[in-house]
Amino acid sequence: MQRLNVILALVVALLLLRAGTADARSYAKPEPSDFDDGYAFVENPDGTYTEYYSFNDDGTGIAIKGDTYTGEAIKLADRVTQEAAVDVGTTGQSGDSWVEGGTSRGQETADWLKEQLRTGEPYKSEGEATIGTDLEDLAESDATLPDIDSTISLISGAGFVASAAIAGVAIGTGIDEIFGLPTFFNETGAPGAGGIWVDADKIELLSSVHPCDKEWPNGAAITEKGAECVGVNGLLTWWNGSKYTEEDFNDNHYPLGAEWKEGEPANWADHKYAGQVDQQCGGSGETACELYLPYELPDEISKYGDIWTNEFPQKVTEAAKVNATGGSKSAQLPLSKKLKVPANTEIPAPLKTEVLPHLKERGEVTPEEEGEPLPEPTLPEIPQPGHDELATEYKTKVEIAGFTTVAIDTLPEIEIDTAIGPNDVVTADPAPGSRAVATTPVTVDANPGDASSSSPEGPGAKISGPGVPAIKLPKLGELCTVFPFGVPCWLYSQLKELATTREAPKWELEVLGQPLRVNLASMEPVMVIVRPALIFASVIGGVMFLVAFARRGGSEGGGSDSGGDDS
Amino acid sequence: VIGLLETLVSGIEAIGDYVLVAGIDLLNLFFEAIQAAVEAALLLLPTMPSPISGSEIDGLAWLNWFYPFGSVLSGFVGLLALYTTWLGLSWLLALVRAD
Repeated sequence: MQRLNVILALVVALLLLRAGTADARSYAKPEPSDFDDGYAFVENPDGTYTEYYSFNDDGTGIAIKGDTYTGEAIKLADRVTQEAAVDVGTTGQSGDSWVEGGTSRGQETADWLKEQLRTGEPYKSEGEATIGTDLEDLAESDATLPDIDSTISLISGAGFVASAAIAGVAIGTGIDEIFGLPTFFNETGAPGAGGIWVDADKIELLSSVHPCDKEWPNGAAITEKGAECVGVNGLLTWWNGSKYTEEDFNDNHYPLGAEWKEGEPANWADHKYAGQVDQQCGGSGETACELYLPYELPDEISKYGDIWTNEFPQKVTEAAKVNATGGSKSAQLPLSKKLKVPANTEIPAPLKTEVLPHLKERGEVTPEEEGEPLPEPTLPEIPQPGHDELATEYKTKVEIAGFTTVAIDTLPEIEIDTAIGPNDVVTADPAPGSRAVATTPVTVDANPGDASSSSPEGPGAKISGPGVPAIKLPKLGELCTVFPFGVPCWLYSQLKELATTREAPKWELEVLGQPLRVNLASMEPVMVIVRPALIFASVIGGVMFLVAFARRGGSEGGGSDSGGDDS
Repeated sequence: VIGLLETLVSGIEAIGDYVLVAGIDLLNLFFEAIQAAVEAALLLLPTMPSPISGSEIDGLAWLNWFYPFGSVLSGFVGLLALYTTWLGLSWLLALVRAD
């Protein structure tokens, strides 16, 4: 009976464990009330945030699960929203290569982009901030981006990336880096104008604001919307470009709210990336919806593209709201996406002169004029902690600076900074020197109270000896390649070459006009015995030779007269 | 006072480590000089020729069938290498003594 109880307990424990695991992997389930302007970020049980789109601003109607971001990414977006963004300069990119070109011209463009783009760190100067702001402004107003008509005319078979597209890519990617989010949309201004966005491995052109988007009535089901906005080729409009598959609409993945309706993604399969797809949407007077370039895409996104309208700024805004609830601190930023310029594409020269002059025309500071601290009088600045400053004292300093929510976080043992003492400030989040709104939660990371300091300061501090370096032996083996030091090595190699394969001698004689073939291979059974005997005799002879040589100093060889000169 | 004494004692205990590090640094300096000489020799001295392949020597395969000539010799190759090295060193020593 006792054994049965143990088994039952184990079964229950396993079930609980499984239930807990399932919960940790599940997505959050947004309700219509979570949506604001058709968009929502919802925190998942594992600390990540999933974005959701809805047809209607109030979240009614179907919703689509979008990408999932780390808490850190959300936090970064929050900083961007608060204009506390972001950069360490134009050459500070690190990590894997996130932009590369398939051709020499493309590589030039890629190199130029690397010089322009951002890393997601705080700006150092007003000049850098200006660049970042202008990149965003350009996304909205720059005339170098093509309108939809010229965009269509530029597309011809496989070879298309116009100079304006390069500019768009540069600007958009810059924004991408600024925001630190994996995708972005580059809005060009007036509805109907062509926009360009870059998502990792693809370049896509699309209309900035889809006319069908505005025509959909609130609360209508997707099928109704699709019916209203069906294109000439029978595809749905807003939906057909989505990368979300039927799987996303499964009940397990798509949590339905009280008023939500399940979608019916008709014609999904029609919208594959089978080369260029020039889709016309709507009736007369409407501009093209999506224009897909032929591109080598991963399987995951090869079926469906991804359409972004001018929702991106909203995403950031929503991210800021979500940030107030906290996020995963240890998560990594989703930076480092690859932008590949297609190899079969003629790429014009980088439009360096089209962007930087734009900034200069405004009379604003260029990156070359860096050095001035970024003045942001409306936002308080996180003060710099002093060396060996107690966390409690630093917390007071931060509060005096204007921040209302300051908490001290004790670091775990593995992250202790031994250069400073116990209870001292290690760092703060947001980073010291950055600016943020006063309501931003500030975390002060501090050493635990029992942390030991390695600095030999104060009475009782132990002086530790220096680390013992390794002995670096010279590489004498390299001398084997040169004369005369290489002679022993050469002898060794040459003698090894002599130990080649053996072959039984065989020849042919002519005796009395008749050929006589001799093949000693038939003697092999005998040689199997003879050879070891010969080797043994050779070993004995060799040893005796060396002994005699050693005793006589090498002046005489052989062992037959050994002892003759020793007397 | 006890704290100061502990610091003093730990400092004295660390002296041995400092001496050891100094010794190893000196040894590494010596080895680095040798390495520099080796690299200079690599630049200045002629390179050794490649050994002749056994398959290119006529009759060697037959000879090895009768008597494992190459195997026996290569068995002694270590001793021969030592011998030739000793020859070179003794020559150098004799040269030094003569001076």
